[in-house]
Amino acid sequence: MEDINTNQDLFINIRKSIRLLYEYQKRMQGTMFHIKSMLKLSYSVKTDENSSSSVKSIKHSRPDTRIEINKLFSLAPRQSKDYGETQLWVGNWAWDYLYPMVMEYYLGENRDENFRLSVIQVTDDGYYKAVQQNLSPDRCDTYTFYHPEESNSIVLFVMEIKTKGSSWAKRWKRDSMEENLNKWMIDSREVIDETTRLGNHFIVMKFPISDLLSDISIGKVLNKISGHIKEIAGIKII
Amino acid sequence: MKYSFSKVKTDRNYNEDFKTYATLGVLQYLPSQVFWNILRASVIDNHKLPKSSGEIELIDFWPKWYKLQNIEVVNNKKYIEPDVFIRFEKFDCIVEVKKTDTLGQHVTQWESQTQAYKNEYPEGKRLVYIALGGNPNLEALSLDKFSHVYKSTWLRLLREVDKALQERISFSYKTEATYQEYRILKSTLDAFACYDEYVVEFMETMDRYKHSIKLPTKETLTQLWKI
Repeated sequence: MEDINTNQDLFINIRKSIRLLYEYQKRMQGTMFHIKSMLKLSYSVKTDENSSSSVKSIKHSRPDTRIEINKLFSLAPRQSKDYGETQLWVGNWAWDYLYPMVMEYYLGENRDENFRLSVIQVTDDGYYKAVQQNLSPDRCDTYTFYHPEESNSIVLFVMEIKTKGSSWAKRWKRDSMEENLNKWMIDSREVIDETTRLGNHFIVMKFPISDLLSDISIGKVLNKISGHIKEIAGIKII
Repeated sequence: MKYSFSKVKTDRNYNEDFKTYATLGVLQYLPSQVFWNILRASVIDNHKLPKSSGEIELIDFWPKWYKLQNIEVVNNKKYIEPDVFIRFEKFDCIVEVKKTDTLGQHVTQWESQTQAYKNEYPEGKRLVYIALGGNPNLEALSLDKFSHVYKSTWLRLLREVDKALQERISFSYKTEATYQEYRILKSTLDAFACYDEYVVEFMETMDRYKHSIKLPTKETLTQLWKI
C-alpha cells in the first residue's frame, strides 16, 4: 500500500477520489437506465398483495424515467422534518452517506412475462470477501476489509419469474434484500437459482462491473441472462 | 418526400416514423459530410465504412420500390419500402429504422431491401445498409452476404449528435454556418428528448479519468488526521 506523507497529499487524494466517484456513479446511473430501457421494464408500485389494502400495482406512464433505489450495506440517513433534508446522529456511519458502496436499483417489471428485476451495485466487495474468509471484518473499519487489489466490483442481477396465479416473493423489501445480499455475497456461485415458496423462479446472477463498460458488453450480459432465464423458466426477456 | 408530409407518417402517435423524421429528417439539413460523419460514427465496427461521402444527391424517406424481381414477397405487398434512402456522391445508403434499441431488425428485411435496391438501381454503386435500432445483439455480422450491413443504435446516434453539438459550442470563432449547424443538432436532441432519450455515458469512457490515487496506511492516516 503506497503511503501519503503530508496533509496536502492526503487531501489531493481525497479530491481525486470524490471526482472519480462522481464520474463512476454518473456512468452507473446511465447504465441502469439503459438496462431498464433494453429490457422494457416498467416501474410499478410494489404492493403487499396479501394485505387488506386495495392499492394495486400502478404502471408509470413513462417507464424509462424512474428507478426505485434502496441503499444497502448501511441504512440511508433518516429524513428530517426540521431544518435539513436528513439528520446526522452520533450513531450514523459515514457509509450512510455513501450510496454507491452498495445500492439496489429496482428496474421494474416486464408485466407481460411476469418478470421483475433489481440490479445491485456492489462497488467494493472487500468486506464480504473478508467475511467469506472468516476474518471478522468491521463495516466501520475499512482496514479490516480485503485489500482493494484483491477485492472486486460487481453487480448482482436479482430476478423473479412469477408463475401463473402466483404472487411475488416477500423478499422484495429493503431489509430482506440486505439480509439476502449478505448470503449471496459469501456464496461462491456466480448463478444462484432458487424456487420460492409459491413456486416462482428466483435467480441471482453476478457479473463484474467491468462487464458493463459499453452498450455492446451490456448487450452480451443481457443476452447471457436472457439465455439462462429461457433455459430455467422458458420465457424470453429480450 | 411527399410521404413525409402525410398525417400517417408524421403523426407523433405513429412513433417510429415520426422519430425517423424528427431526427434523420432534421439531420439531413447538415452539410453532407457532417451528416455522414455523425451517421458513420454511430455505427458499430465502422472502420470499413467510407470516410468521405461526397455531396448528398438524393435523400428519400419511405421510398416505394416496385421492382420485386428475386424477392420473396409476403402479405401481397406490391412494393418494398425502406425507411431512408440516401444517394451520396460516392455510395448509396439505406437506413432501416426500428423504434427502439431493443428488438425488430431481421435479416429477411435486409435481404429484401438490398435486392429491391439492386432492382431499382442496377448501375451498382456501393451500398451501405445501416440497421438503426432494433438490434438486441450488437456484435458484428459474420456472414458475407451481410457484409454491407452495419448495426447502429439510437443511443449511439444521440451520443454523436451531442458530441457534434458540444464541438460547435466549444469553437472560439463561430460562423453563420456554425450557428445553423448548432440549431439543427439542438433540434435533433430536442426530438430525442420527446422520447425520453438522453445522452448516456458508459463506463468505457472512464479511461480519461484514470487517476493515481493513494490509499494511506491506517497509521499514516491516524497521524495526519488525529480525530
